[in-house]
Amino acid sequence: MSVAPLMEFGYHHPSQKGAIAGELDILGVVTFVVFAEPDSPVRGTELFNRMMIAFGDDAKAIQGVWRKGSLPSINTDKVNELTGKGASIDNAVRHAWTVTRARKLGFAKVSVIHQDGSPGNFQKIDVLIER
Amino acid sequence: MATPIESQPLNEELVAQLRQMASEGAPLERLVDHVQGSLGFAKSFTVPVFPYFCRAFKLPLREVLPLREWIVDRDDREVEDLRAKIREFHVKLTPHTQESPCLLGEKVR
Repeated sequence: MSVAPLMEFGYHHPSQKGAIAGELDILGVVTFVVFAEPDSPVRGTELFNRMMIAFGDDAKAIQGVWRKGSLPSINTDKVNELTGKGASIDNAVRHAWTVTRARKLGFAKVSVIHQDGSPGNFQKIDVLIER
Repeated sequence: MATPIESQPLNEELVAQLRQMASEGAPLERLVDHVQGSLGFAKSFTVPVFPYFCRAFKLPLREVLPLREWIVDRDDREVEDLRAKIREFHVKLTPHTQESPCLLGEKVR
């Protein structure tokens, strides 16, 4: 049975070029999805920061659910770029979009909790980013 | 003038419609189209659709996220679990089920 989230945050810009949806569960784990076109009036980083401000100190960790489909995936693409050049996945995730933004907010501990694929070609990566 | 970035409430009527459609066996594609069409969103604008599925079927966002790739790829294997959970929701639903009064951005504790 699902437990209701502690808090939810959803925003879309009227231009339909930027949006975020996120939730904070009762354990303090944030899950979110963000989208911003290159010419969006609102940047993905700003959306992420606003959501995290709304969640406040109740947010203890961020779970990244990164998937590689037909569309570009900014996190998975970065990890694949770096692991394709020989970096370990544990090191590569530190350079991914979500992790670099989270670090600036005090979430510095990153763990890869699930991976599917091989260096340079990961299809699924789940990470946990903690304070 | 810039639009303030604040959490926006969901359309509860649309949430109820989504539940009703699913209970009548509407396929996933129709559910997604209904949310996007009702809100006037382009098919490529998918992020605001996910909270409607979370609210309608009481699912955590991480269980709804496979829709993100499915909307583009239509790889049905990726949404088998989600489909099952939507079906389960209706099996478990009783007349006493109460809707959460929370809006997006409001704490529910």
